[in-house]
Amino acid sequence: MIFDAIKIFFSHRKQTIKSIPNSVLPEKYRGVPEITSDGLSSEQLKELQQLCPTSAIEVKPFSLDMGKCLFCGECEKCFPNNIHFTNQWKIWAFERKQLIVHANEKWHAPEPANPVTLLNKTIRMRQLCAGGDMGCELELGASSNVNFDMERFGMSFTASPRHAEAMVLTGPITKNMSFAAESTFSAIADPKLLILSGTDAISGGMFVDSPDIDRSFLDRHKPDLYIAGSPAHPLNIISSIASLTGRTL
Amino acid sequence: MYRDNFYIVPDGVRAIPFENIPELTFKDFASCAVEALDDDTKDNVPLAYFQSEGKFFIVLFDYSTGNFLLTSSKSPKKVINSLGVDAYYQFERDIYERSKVSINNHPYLKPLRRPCSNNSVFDFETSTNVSLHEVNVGPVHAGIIEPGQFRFTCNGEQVLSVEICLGFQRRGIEQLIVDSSSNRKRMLLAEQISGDSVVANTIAMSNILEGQLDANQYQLIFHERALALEMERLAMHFADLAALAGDCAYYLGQIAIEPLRTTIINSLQLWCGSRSGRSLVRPSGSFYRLSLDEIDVVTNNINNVKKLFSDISSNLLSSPSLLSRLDGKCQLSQHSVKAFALRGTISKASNQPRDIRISSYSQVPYKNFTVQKLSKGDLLSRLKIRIMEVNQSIDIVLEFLNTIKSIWYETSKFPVYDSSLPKSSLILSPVEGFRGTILHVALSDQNSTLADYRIFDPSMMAWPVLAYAMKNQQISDFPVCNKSFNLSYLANDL
Ligand code: SF4
Repeated sequence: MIFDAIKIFFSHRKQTIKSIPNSVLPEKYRGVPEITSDGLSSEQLKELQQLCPTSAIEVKPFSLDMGKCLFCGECEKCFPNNIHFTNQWKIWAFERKQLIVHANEKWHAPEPANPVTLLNKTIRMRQLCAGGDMGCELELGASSNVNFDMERFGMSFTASPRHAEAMVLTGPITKNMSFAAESTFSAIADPKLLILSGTDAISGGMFVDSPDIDRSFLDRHKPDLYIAGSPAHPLNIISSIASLTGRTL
Repeated sequence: MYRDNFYIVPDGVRAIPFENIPELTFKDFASCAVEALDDDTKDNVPLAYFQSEGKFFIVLFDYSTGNFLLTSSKSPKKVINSLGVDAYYQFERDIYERSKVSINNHPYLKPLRRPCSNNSVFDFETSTNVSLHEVNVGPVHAGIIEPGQFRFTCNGEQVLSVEICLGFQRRGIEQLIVDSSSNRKRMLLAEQISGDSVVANTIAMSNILEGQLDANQYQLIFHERALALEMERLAMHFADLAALAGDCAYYLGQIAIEPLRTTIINSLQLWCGSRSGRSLVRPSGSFYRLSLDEIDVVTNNINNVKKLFSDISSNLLSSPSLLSRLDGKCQLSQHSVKAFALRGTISKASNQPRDIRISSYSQVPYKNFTVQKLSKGDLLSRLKIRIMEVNQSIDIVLEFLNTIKSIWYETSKFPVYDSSLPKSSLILSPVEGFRGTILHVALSDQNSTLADYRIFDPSMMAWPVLAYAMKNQQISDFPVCNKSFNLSYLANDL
């Protein structure tokens, strides 16, 4: 019995990703887009704007909002000369408007203006799912599995908000969860951080106009970190939280 | 004979004109709906019972022959009688919630989802017995999972009853699908019905939007979809197995199985750029084709997973502490599985093999496929059935990878978003997700526009059964029992 267990231990080997910042995702991965409106007629621009399911594309000036984008790649497939999703997976922001990609510009994940160093390089988080579609939740869970292992960087999820310094919110915030979102956040002691993970949380995604959604929580509380993606990739989750706490990963 | 009152849908047909569906009086409708379930020569399971456009529809699926049975009734009345059997109670709660049609003689007429208004409360049953106590769990749970609320009434450690209140995840997705201005938006909504069944739900919607495609012309796409579906099943079964092992404090199992899931979903990412298989399935075509190089990489990955999993699964099943933790707990008899009309993994573990992959509704042949089953119906069986399904899916995946390689000369097709639905029809689209048969139902009007869209996940039927399985068990068994069911909150709340 014990020998079998040891055998498994060795045959599975150590599978942890050694270096998070140097990880390269496959070519087809849709990360930061590069966009240009060159060669598009105004009709084509309109068509492009309308095909996007979440109205992430603005025409004047030509821009793409990664806080609204589902990274579905539909626009890229229809207008391959104008939109290209690179496999750059570092997509986060500390201000909402930083997530907008402008035409003919290379986008880089920002440095925090005032990194939260008081956390002494560890951060404990309470996750709250408010209508999240399990995509982001599974990826947040995966961040602490043996492959990504965020705990080695001092980041972990905790059950009680009393033990947490931050709340990670996923989902467009349903009416039925708006109360729970408020009370969970208020149960975290000050000073506290609010992190939004995934397009649904950042902008409401495709649910923003649904009558069953209530996003007033975000009128009352200002997020400290936006992790973009639909869902956000575990590498992105780990790196962005590190960046928030003044580290580079 | 009840069969005369149903339209028996021919093999593999999805779109049924309304004129073919019998319209009965509610009395006949009710009696034949119940009679159909009593027929022991068949395996009729209600997959849907709903009200739309002033009519009630019942959709049964006969797992023994692989045919749908359909019937309907016009009922302008504001009050109807409950059909009076467990298999329909959840549907009746749904009807009651949506339309405020009152239902007589229903044993538990509460809305299926907590109403979406801030001052509404869900009144849990309480007991006046002073020796009992109540334990509330949720809506916010300890782990990174979806919200839902459970109320246990306990005598010491023993659970006397559990009441489950859902609806916290309600986003109104069905209405958004109907109101969408394009099929592209609909497909993207389908991806978000439930993030653990992205492939299953997108296949179901594609089958509705694209109509009946010629299987010879679309072999490649059908195989790719079926391959992705099996990969999703593998990934989620691994997630469930790892979670179950972790809950039994068998951490070697947990840490060894988790990376297997990573391998599978990273293979999906290599294929379509998304670890959950988003953007992979599109109507009548696809954007992301599996290249020959990728086929080799994925084949290699799967062979690796196969080897590693065989070690770990035999270790799992020879661990005495794990076996004694799970054996004989939270048992579900075959009788209750039938009574509650369950399908998928839970029913397979209780000797009732129900799987739509063997029917004419699967678009590719599954060679030498038998539906797995176990007889005991306890926690251990629900763990074992996942192991068996994983082994089966691994072989299917390897076979499909080979097939795709052999038909690689087929040209890929660009997705079609502007196809129209058949006129005045009910369109059924079943897919075997990892939890069981998911059914999407679309209703079109005489202008071929989408009038209504309904999603029926196996979770919806199984939630009350989770409460039932917990009766007289230790409250400390709840986390494991809950994981062995692994029901979706979102697919119930929609
Ligand atoms: S990838 Fe983003 S911007 Fe492009 S269509 Fe999809 S949601 Fe819109």
